[in-house]
Amino acid sequence: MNTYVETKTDLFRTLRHRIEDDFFRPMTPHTLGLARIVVFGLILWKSVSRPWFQLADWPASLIGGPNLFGWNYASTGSLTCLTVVLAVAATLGLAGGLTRIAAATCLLVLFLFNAIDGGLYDSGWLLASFLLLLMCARSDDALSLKSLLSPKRPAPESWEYRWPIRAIQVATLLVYFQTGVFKLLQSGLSWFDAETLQGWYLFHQWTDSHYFAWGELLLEYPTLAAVSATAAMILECGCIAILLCDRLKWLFVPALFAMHAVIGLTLNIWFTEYFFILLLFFDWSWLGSAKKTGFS
Amino acid sequence: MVLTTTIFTAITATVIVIDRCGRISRRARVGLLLSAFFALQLLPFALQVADHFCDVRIPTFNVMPFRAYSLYSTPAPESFTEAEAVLVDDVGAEHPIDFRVWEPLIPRYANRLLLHSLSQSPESQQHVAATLFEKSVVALQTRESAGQFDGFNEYLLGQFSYPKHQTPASLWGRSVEIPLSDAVVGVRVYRVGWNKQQRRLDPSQYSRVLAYEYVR
Repeated sequence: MNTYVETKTDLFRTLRHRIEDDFFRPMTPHTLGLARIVVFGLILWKSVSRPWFQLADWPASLIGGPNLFGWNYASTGSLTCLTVVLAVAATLGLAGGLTRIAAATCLLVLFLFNAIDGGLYDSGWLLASFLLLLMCARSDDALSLKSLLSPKRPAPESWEYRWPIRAIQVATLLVYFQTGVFKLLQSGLSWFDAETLQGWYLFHQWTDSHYFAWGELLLEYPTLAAVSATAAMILECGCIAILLCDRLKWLFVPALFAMHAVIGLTLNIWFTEYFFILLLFFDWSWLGSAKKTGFS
Repeated sequence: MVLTTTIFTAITATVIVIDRCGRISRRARVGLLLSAFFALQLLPFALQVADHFCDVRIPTFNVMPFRAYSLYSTPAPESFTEAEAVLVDDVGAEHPIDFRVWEPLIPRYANRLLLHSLSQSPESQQHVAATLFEKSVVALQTRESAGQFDGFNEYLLGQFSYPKHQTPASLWGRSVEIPLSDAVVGVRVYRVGWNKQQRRLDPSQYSRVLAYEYVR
Protein backbone atom coordinates (compact mmCIF):
# COMPACT_ATOMS: atom_id res chain seq x y z
CA MET A 1 0.00 0.00 0.00
CA ASN A 2 2.82 2.38 0.99
CA THR A 3 4.71 1.52 -2.22
CA TYR A 4 1.57 2.29 -4.24
CA VAL A 5 1.14 5.67 -2.54
CA GLU A 6 4.83 6.49 -3.01
CA THR A 7 4.70 5.55 -6.69
CA LYS A 8 1.58 7.67 -7.14
CA THR A 9 3.24 10.61 -5.36
CA ASP A 10 6.33 10.22 -7.54
CA LEU A 11 4.20 10.17 -10.65
CA PHE A 12 2.41 13.36 -9.64
CA ARG A 13 5.73 14.99 -8.72
CA THR A 14 7.24 14.06 -12.12
CA LEU A 15 4.13 15.28 -13.92
CA ARG A 16 4.18 18.54 -11.99
CA HIS A 17 7.86 19.09 -12.72
CA ARG A 18 7.25 18.34 -16.38
CA ILE A 19 4.38 20.85 -16.58
CA GLU A 20 6.35 23.47 -14.64
CA ASP A 21 9.31 23.02 -16.93
CA ASP A 22 7.04 23.20 -19.95
CA PHE A 23 5.38 26.45 -18.91
CA PHE A 24 8.14 28.20 -16.95
CA ARG A 25 11.34 27.40 -18.83
CA PRO A 26 13.27 30.64 -19.57
CA MET A 27 12.72 32.06 -23.04
CA THR A 28 13.57 35.24 -24.97
CA PRO A 29 10.80 37.88 -25.24
CA HIS A 30 10.56 37.91 -29.04
CA THR A 31 8.07 35.08 -29.62
CA LEU A 32 5.74 36.66 -27.06
CA GLY A 33 6.21 40.02 -28.76
CA LEU A 34 5.24 38.42 -32.06
CA ALA A 35 2.20 36.79 -30.41
CA ARG A 36 1.07 40.25 -29.26
CA ILE A 37 1.49 41.59 -32.80
CA VAL A 38 -0.46 38.64 -34.28
CA VAL A 39 -3.37 38.91 -31.81
CA PHE A 40 -3.80 42.70 -31.91
CA GLY A 41 -2.96 42.85 -35.61
CA LEU A 42 -5.71 40.37 -36.49
CA ILE A 43 -8.23 42.20 -34.29
CA LEU A 44 -7.31 45.54 -35.87
CA TRP A 45 -7.47 44.07 -39.37
CA LYS A 46 -10.92 42.61 -38.69
CA SER A 47 -12.28 45.72 -37.03
CA VAL A 48 -11.37 48.06 -39.89
CA SER A 49 -12.43 45.62 -42.61
CA ARG A 50 -16.10 45.42 -41.76
CA PRO A 51 -18.78 48.11 -41.71
CA TRP A 52 -20.12 46.91 -38.37
CA PHE A 53 -22.33 49.97 -37.99
CA GLN A 54 -24.48 48.70 -40.88
CA LEU A 55 -25.78 46.00 -38.56
CA ALA A 56 -27.98 48.69 -37.06
CA ASP A 57 -29.94 48.60 -40.34
CA TRP A 58 -31.24 45.13 -39.57
CA PRO A 59 -34.23 44.72 -37.24
CA ALA A 60 -33.22 43.96 -33.66
CA SER A 61 -35.55 40.96 -33.70
CA LEU A 62 -33.45 39.49 -36.49
CA ILE A 63 -29.98 40.03 -35.07
CA GLY A 64 -30.77 39.13 -31.51
CA GLY A 65 -31.66 42.47 -29.89
CA PRO A 66 -28.34 43.08 -28.14
CA ASN A 67 -28.39 44.96 -24.88
CA LEU A 68 -26.06 45.54 -22.00
CA PHE A 69 -28.02 45.53 -18.77
CA GLY A 70 -31.01 47.01 -20.57
CA TRP A 71 -29.10 49.32 -22.94
CA ASN A 72 -29.70 48.36 -26.55
CA TYR A 73 -26.53 49.40 -28.31
CA ALA A 74 -27.46 48.22 -31.79
CA SER A 75 -27.63 51.73 -33.19
CA THR A 76 -25.39 53.13 -35.90
CA GLY A 77 -23.79 55.58 -33.45
CA SER A 78 -23.09 53.02 -30.73
CA LEU A 79 -21.68 50.45 -33.15
CA THR A 80 -19.47 53.06 -34.81
CA CYS A 81 -18.16 54.17 -31.39
CA LEU A 82 -17.48 50.57 -30.40
CA THR A 83 -15.62 49.95 -33.67
CA VAL A 84 -13.47 53.05 -33.16
CA VAL A 85 -12.70 52.05 -29.55
CA LEU A 86 -11.76 48.55 -30.73
CA ALA A 87 -9.53 49.87 -33.50
CA VAL A 88 -7.75 52.35 -31.21
CA ALA A 89 -7.20 49.74 -28.49
CA ALA A 90 -5.94 47.18 -31.02
CA THR A 91 -3.54 49.76 -32.51
CA LEU A 92 -2.17 50.52 -29.05
CA GLY A 93 -1.73 46.82 -28.34
CA LEU A 94 -0.13 46.24 -31.73
CA ALA A 95 2.36 49.02 -31.15
CA GLY A 96 3.05 47.80 -27.65
CA GLY A 97 1.85 50.71 -25.56
CA LEU A 98 -0.58 50.32 -22.62
CA THR A 99 -0.87 46.71 -23.74
CA ARG A 100 -2.77 45.39 -20.74
CA ILE A 101 -5.41 48.11 -20.86
CA ALA A 102 -5.67 47.64 -24.64
CA ALA A 103 -6.23 43.89 -24.16
CA ALA A 104 -9.00 44.44 -21.58
CA THR A 105 -10.71 47.04 -23.81
CA CYS A 106 -10.58 44.80 -26.90
CA LEU A 107 -11.99 41.91 -24.88
CA LEU A 108 -14.94 44.00 -23.67
CA VAL A 109 -15.82 45.23 -27.17
CA LEU A 110 -15.52 41.72 -28.60
CA PHE A 111 -17.95 40.49 -25.95
CA LEU A 112 -20.41 43.20 -26.94
CA PHE A 113 -20.04 42.44 -30.65
CA ASN A 114 -20.42 38.75 -30.05
CA ALA A 115 -23.77 39.35 -28.39
CA ILE A 116 -25.10 40.48 -31.74
CA ASP A 117 -26.07 37.22 -33.28
CA GLY A 118 -24.45 37.94 -36.60
CA GLY A 119 -21.36 35.82 -36.58
CA LEU A 120 -19.25 38.94 -36.49
CA TYR A 121 -16.32 37.32 -34.88
CA ASP A 122 -17.01 33.89 -36.17
CA SER A 123 -14.26 31.55 -34.97
CA GLY A 124 -12.74 34.54 -33.23
CA TRP A 125 -13.16 33.30 -29.66
CA LEU A 126 -9.70 31.81 -29.62
CA LEU A 127 -8.18 35.21 -30.33
CA ALA A 128 -10.37 36.77 -27.65
CA SER A 129 -9.20 34.22 -25.09
CA PHE A 130 -5.57 35.16 -25.81
CA LEU A 131 -6.41 38.69 -24.70
CA LEU A 132 -6.97 37.29 -21.20
CA LEU A 133 -3.35 36.13 -21.22
CA LEU A 134 -2.04 39.39 -22.68
CA MET A 135 -3.82 41.26 -19.87
CA CYS A 136 -1.31 39.74 -17.46
CA ALA A 137 1.73 39.00 -19.62
CA ARG A 138 4.83 41.11 -20.25
CA SER A 139 4.22 41.00 -23.98
CA ASP A 140 5.57 44.48 -24.71
CA ASP A 141 9.16 43.81 -23.62
CA ALA A 142 10.20 43.18 -27.23
CA LEU A 143 9.13 44.29 -30.71
CA SER A 144 7.26 47.23 -29.18
CA LEU A 145 7.28 50.99 -28.77
CA LYS A 146 7.94 50.49 -25.07
CA SER A 147 11.10 48.48 -25.73
CA LEU A 148 12.31 51.15 -28.17
CA LEU A 149 11.62 54.11 -25.91
CA SER A 150 12.41 52.69 -22.48
CA PRO A 151 16.04 52.94 -21.35
CA LYS A 152 15.48 49.88 -19.14
CA ARG A 153 16.56 46.69 -20.93
CA PRO A 154 14.38 43.61 -20.35
CA ALA A 155 15.93 40.36 -19.18
CA PRO A 156 17.34 38.45 -22.17
CA GLU A 157 15.51 35.33 -21.00
CA SER A 158 12.77 34.81 -18.43
CA TRP A 159 9.99 32.37 -17.56
CA GLU A 160 7.64 35.35 -17.89
CA TYR A 161 8.01 35.14 -21.68
CA ARG A 162 7.33 31.43 -21.87
CA TRP A 163 4.03 30.78 -20.06
CA PRO A 164 1.76 32.93 -22.27
CA ILE A 165 3.20 31.36 -25.43
CA ARG A 166 2.78 27.85 -24.08
CA ALA A 167 -0.78 28.67 -22.97
CA ILE A 168 -1.57 29.97 -26.46
CA GLN A 169 -0.21 26.76 -27.99
CA VAL A 170 -2.08 24.49 -25.58
CA ALA A 171 -5.35 26.42 -26.04
CA THR A 172 -5.03 26.17 -29.83
CA LEU A 173 -4.37 22.43 -29.68
CA LEU A 174 -7.32 22.00 -27.32
CA VAL A 175 -9.61 23.68 -29.84
CA TYR A 176 -8.54 21.23 -32.54
CA PHE A 177 -8.81 18.30 -30.14
CA GLN A 178 -12.29 19.31 -28.98
CA THR A 179 -13.58 19.68 -32.53
CA GLY A 180 -12.17 16.24 -33.37
CA VAL A 181 -13.85 14.73 -30.31
CA PHE A 182 -17.18 16.39 -31.18
CA LYS A 183 -17.01 14.79 -34.61
CA LEU A 184 -16.36 11.39 -33.09
CA LEU A 185 -19.12 11.78 -30.49
CA GLN A 186 -21.77 13.17 -32.80
CA SER A 187 -21.03 11.25 -35.98
CA GLY A 188 -19.18 8.17 -34.85
CA LEU A 189 -17.86 6.11 -37.71
CA SER A 190 -20.23 7.73 -40.18
CA TRP A 191 -17.90 10.77 -40.18
CA PHE A 192 -15.52 8.73 -42.33
CA ASP A 193 -18.16 8.10 -45.01
CA ALA A 194 -17.73 10.03 -48.22
CA GLU A 195 -21.36 11.16 -47.93
CA THR A 196 -20.60 13.32 -44.90
CA LEU A 197 -18.37 15.85 -46.64
CA GLN A 198 -20.34 15.52 -49.87
CA GLY A 199 -23.56 16.40 -48.00
CA TRP A 200 -22.03 19.51 -46.46
CA TYR A 201 -20.66 20.56 -49.82
CA LEU A 202 -24.19 20.32 -51.28
CA PHE A 203 -25.39 22.45 -48.36
CA HIS A 204 -22.76 25.06 -49.19
CA GLN A 205 -23.81 25.06 -52.80
CA TRP A 206 -27.16 26.24 -51.50
CA THR A 207 -26.09 28.72 -48.81
CA ASP A 208 -23.27 30.27 -50.85
CA SER A 209 -24.93 29.60 -54.19
CA HIS A 210 -21.50 28.72 -55.38
CA TYR A 211 -19.86 25.88 -57.17
CA PHE A 212 -16.18 25.32 -56.56
CA ALA A 213 -13.98 23.31 -58.85
CA TRP A 214 -12.28 21.67 -55.85
CA GLY A 215 -15.61 21.08 -54.12
CA GLU A 216 -17.00 19.39 -57.21
CA LEU A 217 -14.08 16.96 -56.93
CA LEU A 218 -15.54 15.80 -53.61
CA LEU A 219 -18.76 14.84 -55.39
CA GLU A 220 -16.96 13.28 -58.31
CA TYR A 221 -14.51 11.16 -56.29
CA PRO A 222 -16.08 9.68 -53.12
CA THR A 223 -12.70 8.23 -52.10
CA LEU A 224 -11.25 11.74 -52.00
CA ALA A 225 -14.11 12.88 -49.74
CA ALA A 226 -13.59 9.91 -47.40
CA VAL A 227 -9.81 10.43 -47.27
CA SER A 228 -10.26 14.15 -46.57
CA ALA A 229 -12.70 13.46 -43.71
CA THR A 230 -10.36 10.85 -42.24
CA ALA A 231 -7.32 13.12 -42.54
CA ALA A 232 -9.17 15.97 -40.81
CA MET A 233 -10.13 13.67 -37.94
CA ILE A 234 -6.58 12.31 -37.56
CA LEU A 235 -5.11 15.81 -37.56
CA GLU A 236 -7.63 17.25 -35.12
CA CYS A 237 -7.42 14.43 -32.63
CA GLY A 238 -3.72 13.72 -33.16
CA CYS A 239 -2.19 17.19 -33.00
CA ILE A 240 -2.55 17.23 -29.20
CA ALA A 241 0.47 14.87 -29.25
CA ILE A 242 2.62 17.96 -29.84
CA LEU A 243 2.29 18.54 -26.09
CA LEU A 244 4.09 15.27 -25.43
CA CYS A 245 6.70 15.50 -28.16
CA ASP A 246 7.62 18.96 -29.38
CA ARG A 247 9.21 17.64 -32.58
CA LEU A 248 5.80 16.54 -33.83
CA LYS A 249 4.98 20.19 -34.49
CA TRP A 250 7.09 19.92 -37.65
CA LEU A 251 4.62 17.30 -38.87
CA PHE A 252 1.30 18.57 -37.53
CA VAL A 253 1.58 22.35 -37.92
CA PRO A 254 2.25 22.28 -41.71
CA ALA A 255 -0.46 19.62 -42.02
CA LEU A 256 -2.94 21.87 -40.19
CA PHE A 257 -2.01 24.73 -42.53
CA ALA A 258 -2.76 22.44 -45.47
CA MET A 259 -6.05 21.30 -43.87
CA HIS A 260 -7.30 24.89 -43.53
CA ALA A 261 -6.28 25.63 -47.12
CA VAL A 262 -8.17 22.58 -48.41
CA ILE A 263 -11.28 23.44 -46.31
CA GLY A 264 -11.18 26.94 -47.79
CA LEU A 265 -10.79 25.73 -51.36
CA THR A 266 -13.48 23.04 -51.17
CA LEU A 267 -16.11 24.26 -48.70
CA ASN A 268 -15.31 27.98 -48.93
CA ILE A 269 -14.82 28.32 -45.17
CA TRP A 270 -11.73 30.34 -44.25
CA PHE A 271 -10.30 30.21 -40.74
CA THR A 272 -7.83 33.00 -41.51
CA GLU A 273 -6.62 33.60 -37.97
CA TYR A 274 -5.41 30.03 -37.61
CA PHE A 275 -2.89 30.55 -40.42
CA PHE A 276 -1.25 33.18 -38.22
CA ILE A 277 -1.79 31.57 -34.81
CA LEU A 278 -0.08 28.39 -36.01
CA LEU A 279 3.08 30.45 -36.61
CA LEU A 280 3.35 30.84 -32.84
CA PHE A 281 4.27 27.17 -32.50
CA PHE A 282 7.77 28.05 -33.69
CA ASP A 283 10.57 29.85 -31.86
CA TRP A 284 11.07 33.39 -33.13
CA SER A 285 14.06 34.25 -30.93
CA TRP A 286 16.10 34.94 -34.08
CA LEU A 287 14.12 38.19 -34.39
CA GLY A 288 16.23 39.40 -31.46
CA SER A 289 19.53 38.58 -33.17
CA ALA A 290 18.28 40.13 -36.42
CA LYS A 291 17.58 43.31 -34.46
CA LYS A 292 21.08 43.35 -33.03
CA THR A 293 22.62 42.98 -36.48
CA GLY A 294 20.47 45.81 -37.80
CA PHE A 295 17.76 43.96 -39.70
CA SER A 296 14.92 45.50 -37.71
CA MET B 1 -26.62 38.87 -23.11
CA VAL B 2 -26.81 39.73 -19.40
CA LEU B 3 -25.33 36.31 -18.68
CA THR B 4 -22.46 36.91 -21.12
CA THR B 5 -21.75 40.36 -19.67
CA THR B 6 -21.77 38.95 -16.15
CA ILE B 7 -19.39 36.18 -17.18
CA PHE B 8 -17.12 38.75 -18.85
CA THR B 9 -17.09 40.94 -15.73
CA ALA B 10 -16.37 37.96 -13.50
CA ILE B 11 -13.55 36.71 -15.71
CA THR B 12 -11.90 40.12 -16.04
CA ALA B 13 -12.20 40.82 -12.32
CA THR B 14 -10.68 37.42 -11.50
CA VAL B 15 -7.79 37.99 -13.89
CA ILE B 16 -7.07 41.44 -12.44
CA VAL B 17 -7.29 40.19 -8.85
CA ILE B 18 -4.96 37.28 -9.60
CA ASP B 19 -2.56 39.57 -11.47
CA ARG B 20 -2.49 42.27 -8.82
CA CYS B 21 -2.74 40.31 -5.56
CA GLY B 22 0.61 40.95 -3.89
CA ARG B 23 0.28 38.46 -1.06
CA ILE B 24 1.40 35.48 -3.09
CA SER B 25 4.37 35.14 -5.39
CA ARG B 26 4.09 36.13 -9.06
CA ARG B 27 4.76 32.57 -10.17
CA ALA B 28 2.00 31.16 -7.99
CA ARG B 29 -0.38 33.81 -9.32
CA VAL B 30 0.50 32.90 -12.90
CA GLY B 31 -0.17 29.26 -12.01
CA LEU B 32 -3.61 30.25 -10.71
CA LEU B 33 -4.29 32.31 -13.81
CA LEU B 34 -3.36 29.43 -16.10
CA SER B 35 -5.58 27.07 -14.14
CA ALA B 36 -8.50 29.50 -14.47
CA PHE B 37 -7.73 30.02 -18.19
CA PHE B 38 -7.78 26.32 -19.00
CA ALA B 39 -10.81 25.72 -16.79
CA LEU B 40 -12.62 28.35 -18.82
CA GLN B 41 -11.62 26.60 -22.02
CA LEU B 42 -12.45 23.11 -20.87
CA LEU B 43 -15.64 23.64 -18.85
CA PRO B 44 -17.95 24.05 -21.88
CA PHE B 45 -16.30 21.03 -23.48
CA ALA B 46 -16.77 18.93 -20.35
CA LEU B 47 -20.41 20.01 -20.09
CA GLN B 48 -21.01 19.15 -23.72
CA VAL B 49 -19.43 15.71 -23.33
CA ALA B 50 -21.50 15.16 -20.18
CA ASP B 51 -24.57 16.24 -22.10
CA HIS B 52 -23.76 13.71 -24.81
CA PHE B 53 -23.26 10.75 -22.48
CA CYS B 54 -25.65 11.52 -19.65
CA ASP B 55 -28.24 13.55 -21.54
CA VAL B 56 -28.10 16.17 -18.79
CA ARG B 57 -29.52 18.91 -21.04
CA ILE B 58 -27.40 21.86 -19.98
CA PRO B 59 -28.39 24.72 -22.27
CA THR B 60 -25.90 27.23 -20.91
CA PHE B 61 -22.77 25.88 -22.57
CA ASN B 62 -24.03 27.28 -25.84
CA VAL B 63 -23.65 30.82 -24.55
CA MET B 64 -20.38 30.30 -22.72
CA PRO B 65 -17.50 32.40 -23.93
CA PHE B 66 -14.39 30.63 -25.23
CA ARG B 67 -16.48 27.66 -26.27
CA ALA B 68 -14.84 25.69 -29.05
CA TYR B 69 -17.18 24.01 -31.44
CA SER B 70 -16.97 22.12 -34.64
CA LEU B 71 -18.69 23.84 -37.52
CA TYR B 72 -19.72 20.48 -38.92
CA SER B 73 -19.44 17.51 -36.66
CA THR B 74 -22.44 15.53 -37.85
CA PRO B 75 -23.33 14.06 -41.22
CA ALA B 76 -25.42 16.46 -43.29
CA PRO B 77 -29.17 15.80 -42.80
CA GLU B 78 -31.04 14.02 -45.57
CA SER B 79 -33.32 16.98 -46.17
CA PHE B 80 -33.00 20.69 -45.55
CA THR B 81 -35.51 23.44 -44.90
CA GLU B 82 -34.25 26.86 -45.87
CA ALA B 83 -35.63 30.30 -46.65
CA GLU B 84 -35.09 32.09 -49.91
CA ALA B 85 -35.70 35.78 -50.60
CA VAL B 86 -36.18 37.16 -54.10
CA LEU B 87 -36.83 40.60 -55.56
CA VAL B 88 -40.02 41.17 -57.53
CA ASP B 89 -40.15 43.68 -60.39
CA ASP B 90 -43.08 45.69 -61.74
CA VAL B 91 -44.15 42.94 -64.16
CA GLY B 92 -44.12 40.31 -61.43
CA ALA B 93 -40.89 38.59 -62.45
CA GLU B 94 -38.63 37.31 -59.66
CA HIS B 95 -34.88 37.95 -59.41
CA PRO B 96 -32.31 36.51 -57.00
CA ILE B 97 -30.80 38.73 -54.31
CA ASP B 98 -27.02 38.82 -54.15
CA PHE B 99 -25.80 37.52 -50.78
CA ARG B 100 -23.55 40.57 -50.50
CA VAL B 101 -26.64 42.66 -49.81
CA TRP B 102 -26.71 41.06 -46.34
CA GLU B 103 -23.24 42.24 -45.38
CA PRO B 104 -21.72 42.53 -42.86
CA LEU B 105 -23.71 39.39 -41.98
CA ILE B 106 -22.13 36.31 -43.52
CA PRO B 107 -24.30 34.10 -45.79
CA ARG B 108 -24.62 31.26 -43.29
CA TYR B 109 -26.06 33.63 -40.67
CA ALA B 110 -28.12 35.48 -43.25
CA ASN B 111 -29.73 32.18 -44.22
CA ARG B 112 -30.29 31.22 -40.61
CA LEU B 113 -31.78 34.59 -39.73
CA LEU B 114 -34.06 34.58 -42.75
CA LEU B 115 -35.25 31.11 -41.76
CA HIS B 116 -35.76 32.38 -38.20
CA SER B 117 -37.91 35.20 -39.57
CA LEU B 118 -40.43 32.65 -40.91
CA SER B 119 -41.54 31.90 -37.36
CA GLN B 120 -41.83 35.56 -36.31
CA SER B 121 -44.86 37.86 -36.20
CA PRO B 122 -46.21 39.37 -39.48
CA GLU B 123 -45.03 42.85 -38.34
CA SER B 124 -41.53 41.57 -37.75
CA GLN B 125 -41.53 39.80 -41.12
CA GLN B 126 -42.55 43.01 -42.86
CA HIS B 127 -39.71 44.81 -41.09
CA VAL B 128 -37.19 42.19 -42.27
CA ALA B 129 -38.46 42.24 -45.85
CA ALA B 130 -38.56 46.05 -45.95
CA THR B 131 -34.94 46.24 -44.74
CA LEU B 132 -33.86 43.65 -47.29
CA PHE B 133 -35.71 45.55 -50.00
CA GLU B 134 -34.13 48.90 -49.09
CA LYS B 135 -30.63 47.46 -48.96
CA SER B 136 -31.18 45.65 -52.27
CA VAL B 137 -32.28 48.89 -53.95
CA VAL B 138 -29.16 50.68 -52.65
CA ALA B 139 -27.03 47.78 -53.91
CA LEU B 140 -28.70 47.89 -57.34
CA GLN B 141 -28.20 51.66 -57.53
CA THR B 142 -24.51 51.18 -56.64
CA ARG B 143 -24.26 48.60 -59.39
CA GLU B 144 -25.91 50.89 -61.92
CA SER B 145 -23.63 53.83 -61.14
CA ALA B 146 -20.35 51.95 -60.59
CA GLY B 147 -20.89 49.14 -63.09
CA GLN B 148 -20.64 46.46 -60.41
CA PHE B 149 -21.61 45.74 -56.83
CA ASP B 150 -18.81 44.33 -54.68
CA GLY B 151 -20.80 44.34 -51.47
CA PHE B 152 -20.96 46.79 -48.62
CA ASN B 153 -17.89 45.28 -47.12
CA GLU B 154 -14.95 46.62 -49.06
CA TYR B 155 -15.35 50.16 -47.87
CA LEU B 156 -12.02 50.94 -46.28
CA LEU B 157 -9.26 48.51 -47.17
CA GLY B 158 -10.62 47.37 -50.50
CA GLN B 159 -9.09 44.10 -51.62
CA PHE B 160 -6.87 44.09 -48.52
CA SER B 161 -9.88 43.62 -46.22
CA TYR B 162 -9.81 40.74 -43.77
CA PRO B 163 -10.83 37.62 -45.72
CA LYS B 164 -14.42 36.72 -45.05
CA HIS B 165 -15.13 33.56 -43.12
CA GLN B 166 -17.27 32.56 -46.06
CA THR B 167 -17.13 34.40 -49.34
CA PRO B 168 -20.61 34.82 -50.73
CA ALA B 169 -20.99 34.29 -54.43
CA SER B 170 -21.41 37.32 -56.64
CA LEU B 171 -24.85 36.31 -57.93
CA TRP B 172 -25.28 39.56 -59.80
CA GLY B 173 -21.88 39.14 -61.38
CA ARG B 174 -23.07 36.03 -63.15
CA SER B 175 -25.41 35.57 -66.05
CA VAL B 176 -28.65 36.21 -64.18
CA GLU B 177 -31.14 38.82 -65.23
CA ILE B 178 -30.63 41.77 -62.91
CA PRO B 179 -33.51 44.22 -62.50
CA LEU B 180 -33.14 47.99 -62.57
CA SER B 181 -33.37 49.62 -59.15
CA ASP B 182 -36.48 51.61 -60.04
CA ALA B 183 -38.24 48.55 -61.48
CA VAL B 184 -38.23 46.46 -58.30
CA VAL B 185 -41.38 46.74 -56.25
CA GLY B 186 -41.04 44.20 -53.47
CA VAL B 187 -39.56 41.14 -51.85
CA ARG B 188 -40.94 37.63 -51.56
CA VAL B 189 -39.66 35.16 -49.00
CA TYR B 190 -40.15 31.46 -49.67
CA ARG B 191 -39.83 28.39 -47.48
CA VAL B 192 -37.69 26.01 -49.47
CA GLY B 193 -37.12 22.31 -48.92
CA TRP B 194 -34.68 20.02 -50.67
CA ASN B 195 -33.42 16.53 -50.37
CA LYS B 196 -29.71 15.71 -50.41
CA GLN B 197 -29.96 12.80 -52.82
CA GLN B 198 -32.43 14.58 -55.09
CA ARG B 199 -30.32 17.71 -55.27
CA ARG B 200 -27.27 15.68 -56.14
CA LEU B 201 -29.05 14.31 -59.18
CA ASP B 202 -30.75 17.54 -60.18
CA PRO B 203 -30.07 20.85 -58.36
CA SER B 204 -33.29 22.35 -59.71
CA GLN B 205 -35.42 19.85 -57.76
CA TYR B 206 -36.78 21.46 -54.61
CA SER B 207 -40.10 22.49 -53.04
CA ARG B 208 -40.92 26.19 -52.68
CA VAL B 209 -43.82 27.73 -50.74
CA LEU B 210 -44.45 31.48 -50.32
CA ALA B 211 -44.04 32.42 -46.63
CA TYR B 212 -44.53 36.19 -46.76
CA GLU B 213 -44.04 39.12 -49.07
CA TYR B 214 -43.47 42.85 -48.93
CA VAL B 215 -44.69 45.35 -51.50
CA ARG B 216 -43.37 48.88 -51.53
